[in-house]
Amino acid sequence: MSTENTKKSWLRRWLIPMIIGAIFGYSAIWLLDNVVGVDIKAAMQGYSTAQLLAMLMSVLFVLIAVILLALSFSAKALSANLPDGEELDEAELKEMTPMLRLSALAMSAYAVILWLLSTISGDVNGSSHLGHLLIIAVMVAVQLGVNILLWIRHDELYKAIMRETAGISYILIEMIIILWAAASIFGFGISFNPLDVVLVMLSVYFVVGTVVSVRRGFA
Amino acid sequence: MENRLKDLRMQREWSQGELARRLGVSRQTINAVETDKYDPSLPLALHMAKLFGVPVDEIFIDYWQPEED
Repeated sequence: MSTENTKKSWLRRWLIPMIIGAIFGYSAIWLLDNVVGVDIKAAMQGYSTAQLLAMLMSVLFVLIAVILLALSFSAKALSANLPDGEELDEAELKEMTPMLRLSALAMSAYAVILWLLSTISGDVNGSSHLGHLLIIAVMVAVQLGVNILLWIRHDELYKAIMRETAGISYILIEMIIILWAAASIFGFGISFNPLDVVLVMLSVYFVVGTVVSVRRGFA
Repeated sequence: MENRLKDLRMQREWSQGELARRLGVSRQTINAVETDKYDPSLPLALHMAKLFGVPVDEIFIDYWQPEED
């Protein structure tokens, strides 16, 4: 592939969607604030940075799930990045669509977990949240089951990406958690709560997984 | 590591999907190998060599040379 083609491909796949996303996101916030009349600043008050980040990530996961689901219904979109005008045949579509839907399900499960963990906190009575705990337990089981299914159904490229992602993520998460815990234990005034740990784990894994997938030509 | 997988595939006028089907892997795997983003496992490399009827080192080109004693 020539350098010019690589630049075009990078522009088309990443930069243009990022700009569109930024414009869309800013417009949506502006509309909510100025037209619908939602006081976003007031709505955000009372939530910690970790809670807000977890909510944001939850919304991001829902968006990704919707995109994956939409892709699973569009053979044309799935064939868009194939070389030399090739198109996916029936067998390939039949193989790919359940994978995309399963991935969408896993992302949705993560989104529910993050949303519940971020919105329900503070002075809560454990027994009154048994239902929420059960929902999270079910979601954890769902994402575990889906990830096992994806591992079984995919071929060696996916497995190599998962192994690489897991290895890199582990090192990064270990470093962040140890340093964070040390700063908290040694009295540097840095809080360290379970939501922080969940957020660090999921965000590191998500970013590393995305980078590795793109680098290995999977995404 | 460089490879000649795309050349060999094109010689037979196969699409990536066709080669993937013959090897029992996904088209993404074939594309990743052809674009040097992923080195296949030894079993897959051997299957490729068998399928094209050439030795593995004719598909995957490695310029490494052992040091002379």
